[in-house]
Amino acid sequence: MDEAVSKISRSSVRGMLRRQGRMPEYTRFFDFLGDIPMIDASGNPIAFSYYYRQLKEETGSHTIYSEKMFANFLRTEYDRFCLPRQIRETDFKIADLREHSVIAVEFNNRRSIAILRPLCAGRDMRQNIGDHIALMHQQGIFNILFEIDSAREEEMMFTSPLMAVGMVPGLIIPDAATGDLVIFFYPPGSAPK
Amino acid sequence: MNIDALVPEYVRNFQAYIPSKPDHLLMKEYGIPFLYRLNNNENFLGPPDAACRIIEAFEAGNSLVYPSGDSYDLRSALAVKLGISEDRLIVGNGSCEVITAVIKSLCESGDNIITADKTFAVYEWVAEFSGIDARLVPLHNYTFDPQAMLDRIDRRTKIIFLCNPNNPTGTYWPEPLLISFIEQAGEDRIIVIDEAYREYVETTDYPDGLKLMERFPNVVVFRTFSKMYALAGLRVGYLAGVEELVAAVRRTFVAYSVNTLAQQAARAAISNDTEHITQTRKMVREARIFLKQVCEQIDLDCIGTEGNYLMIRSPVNDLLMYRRLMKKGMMVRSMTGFRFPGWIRVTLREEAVMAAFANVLSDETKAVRG
Repeated sequence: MDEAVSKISRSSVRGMLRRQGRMPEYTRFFDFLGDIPMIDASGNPIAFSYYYRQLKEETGSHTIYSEKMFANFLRTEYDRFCLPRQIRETDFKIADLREHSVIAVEFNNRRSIAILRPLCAGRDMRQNIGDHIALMHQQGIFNILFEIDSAREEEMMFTSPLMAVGMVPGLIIPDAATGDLVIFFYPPGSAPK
Repeated sequence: MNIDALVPEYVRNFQAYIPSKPDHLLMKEYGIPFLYRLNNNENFLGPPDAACRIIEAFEAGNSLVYPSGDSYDLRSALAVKLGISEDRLIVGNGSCEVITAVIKSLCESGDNIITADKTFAVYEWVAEFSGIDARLVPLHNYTFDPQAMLDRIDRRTKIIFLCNPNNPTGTYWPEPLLISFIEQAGEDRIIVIDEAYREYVETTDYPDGLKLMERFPNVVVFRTFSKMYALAGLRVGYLAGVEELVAAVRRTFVAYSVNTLAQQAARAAISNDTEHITQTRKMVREARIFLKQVCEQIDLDCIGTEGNYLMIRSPVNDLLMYRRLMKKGMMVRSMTGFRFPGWIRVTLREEAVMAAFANVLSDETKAVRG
């Protein structure tokens, strides 16, 4: 592992991410970001364990705009990894947005996973997310993730609607403060709100 | 406009070094009221007194005239101190400039240089972004591996870079080993002995590159004022070699790169350096003993017998430990970029700072071990 990390460290890669299964003896090489609960094809509960290793010192901007209800989660996670970020609490003006939001979906049918990503914020975000979750469930997909780039204010506008429909912030994947990824998950087995 | 088409592939593929942010920004980002630098192997005792006096007395009016283009007075002073002709010296804007000049003057497409994989990275960087193959030989027991380096030599090998003592491992080749290596490497290539940390070495078997240069005309020696002489902020380094080689290197050297204050301060620094070196060695020696004891107490491996630094194996990944220490105002060097993932390098400095660092390191080690 020393050799592998050494080689990668001199490339353009900013960090390494591992997101399946538990990893023994990881502490010298990776930070444990957290677990995302899932269910397997037989309906048994499993977890995706996320490990991360930063490879270069950060160069990005360190200001993140967040609504108050979500800021505590960000602070806790950033503090846990001593990542310097300035978190500014703000009230997003959802009413000023365009009417409709747009969400992209990436499917992994074999693992029954859908990863949702925001494309455009809009006044109907809560309804739109809820509709997506319901549709996934109808399709038999019960592992639903939602990824938000914390550096993009428009994406951060999705946090309140996400939590309103029952999605839970699980962990943050750091990316040199140029675009940390916040992973929300829909608790497997929960009925859509 | 297609900029990529203008940029050679070896430049496009090169990963540029990104320096740390300024202290005031780091302090703001990490929310800390102070920051102790333990990351760049600076000498926090400061420059020798004579150099301090020159720096303090420097007047604004002196900045309107160009500096000596070839650091004439400094080379003269160095020549007297080192006992060689001034024509055998080139002074540069830090060692990095003389490294660049040597590679530019000697290497062309298809040539290669040889050095270690875990050493001062600038040899490798300059070669790579100049389109020259950098052959990197793994260290053996944290030391340059002579046989493995000899095995990599071919007819296109122009330069072999030896960092003695090595940064970051603090190991060195004693004189017999170095002589044997130079003899086996042959006369058809240059052997660069980078002695950036030579003034910190107190052992008797440590070789003097300048003496070897008299015996082997293909030996070039690099030295710097950034480390022991604490003039890092002024950037002065130099190389010494035989006249014919120095003349060739000088052709690729841009004159006037070393500013007036740097030249004057460096000249003063060597005018009376005995007490300064004694005091610095004492500080570093005591800091090394102290920090090694601390590492032993908290069960952390460390390596480094020479130079003003110590490498410590972190109980968690080194960038996480870097950030944890930063949150407590201690800036170390994370070693992933040196191909030593899981290690940090710590500058050895004043007793009070070392004590403060030891407390923070102990606390953070306990915290991460749970």
